[in-house]
Amino acid sequence: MTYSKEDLAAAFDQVMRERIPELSDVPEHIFSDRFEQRMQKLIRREAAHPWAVSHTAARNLLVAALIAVLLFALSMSVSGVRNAIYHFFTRHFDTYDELIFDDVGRTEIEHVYKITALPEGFNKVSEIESSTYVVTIYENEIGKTIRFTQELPFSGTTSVDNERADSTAIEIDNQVLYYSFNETVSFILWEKDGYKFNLSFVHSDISVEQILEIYRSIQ
Amino acid sequence: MLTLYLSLIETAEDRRLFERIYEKYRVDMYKYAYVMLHDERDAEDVVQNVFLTIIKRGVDKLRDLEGQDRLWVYLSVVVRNQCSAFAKKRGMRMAMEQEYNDHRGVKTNDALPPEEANYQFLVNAIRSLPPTYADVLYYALVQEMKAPEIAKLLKLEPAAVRQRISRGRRELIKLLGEDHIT
Repeated sequence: MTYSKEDLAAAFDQVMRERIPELSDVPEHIFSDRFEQRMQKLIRREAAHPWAVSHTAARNLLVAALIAVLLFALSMSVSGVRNAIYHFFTRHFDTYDELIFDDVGRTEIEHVYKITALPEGFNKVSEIESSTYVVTIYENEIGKTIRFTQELPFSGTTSVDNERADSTAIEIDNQVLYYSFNETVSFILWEKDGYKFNLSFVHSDISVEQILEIYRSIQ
Repeated sequence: MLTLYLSLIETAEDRRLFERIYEKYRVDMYKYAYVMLHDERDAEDVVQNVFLTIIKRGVDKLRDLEGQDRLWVYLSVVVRNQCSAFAKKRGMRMAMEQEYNDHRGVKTNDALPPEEANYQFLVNAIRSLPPTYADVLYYALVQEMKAPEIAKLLKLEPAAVRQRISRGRRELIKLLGEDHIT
C-alpha cells in the first residue's frame, strides 16, 4: 500500500486533533494587564530585530537611533549608565518588580558556571542540571543555604516581590546586578553571555561584600 | 494588543488573517496551555510566544491551513510544544505526554472497505508513534518545515531535530511495512 502526502496530512491531522484535551470545562479567561504589558515589550524587542526591518528607510532610521543612543550613553557618567541599564531591564509595579531579560537565541547551556570560592563550612548538597537550567545548592551545618542558578532566559521576564524586600542596582566590574534583600533572603540577579543567573542566600546573615566575593569567584 | 501584533505584519492581507486567528483562537490556546501548565501567568506567556512564533514564521504560511480547517490542529501542536519547552526550562515534571499504543497493536481492520482500512492503518501507526517523533514528523512532513525552523519552535538544536525526524521516519516505516509513503 502506498500513502500519498494528502493521506499523511489527513492522518496526522486526525491524530493531533485527538490529542487536544477537552477545553470546555476550563473557565473563561480575561487576559491580564501583565499580558498586555509584556506583549508590548516583546513586540518592541521583536520590532527592533533585523527580520522585522525590511525597508531601507526603516533600517536607516534604526541605525540613526542606535547611534543616538550610543552617543547619549557615552555622554553619561558611569552611574548614569548604570541607572539607565537598571531601569531598562526593570519594571516596577505595586507589589513586584519585573526584570526583563533578553533571549539571545541560545537553545542550550554551553558553559556551566560554577562558584569557585564558597564561604567556610558550606558544602554542595544538591545539583540539578539540564540543557537549559542548572541549579546548585550548598548548605552549612546550621542550615544556612546558598543557591546558585543558571538558566536560559526563555520567558524573558522574572518577577521579584518588592513588598517584603528592598532592592537596588549594584554595578560591579562593568556588570549590573539586581540586589534584593530582607531579613531572611537576599539574592542577586544578573544577565551575562545570554544566561540568567541567580545567587541567593537563605538565613545566611550575609553582607553585600561577602555576596560580591562569591559572585566574583563564579567562572 | 491586537494592534501591536499587527504592527509587525507587513501586508494588509496577512494582517486580516492574523486578526482572524487572534480573535478566534487565543482563548482556546490559553485554555490548552492552562490545562497543561496549571498557571494563568505561564499560560498567558505561552500564548504570547505562540503568536510571536506565528509572526516570525510568516502568517501567510497559515492561509492554506485555515482553508482546510486544520489551523486549530497546528496551533494546538505549537501550544503543546511551547508548554513542554516552558516546563522543561522551569525544571517542571509534567505528565503531558499522551498515551500512545504499542506498535505491535497496529493492525488492519478487515471489516472496513480496503481503502478506508488502509487509511485507518496509517492513523493507527501514527497514534503508535511516541509523541516526540509524531510532532517532528507532523512539522516536517505535513507542514514542510525545515529542521532549523522546527528546532526554534521546540527549543532544540537542529541536529537533535534531524535525529528525531530520522528516527521517527524509521519507526513509522517499521510500523507500516515497506513501500508506503510517496
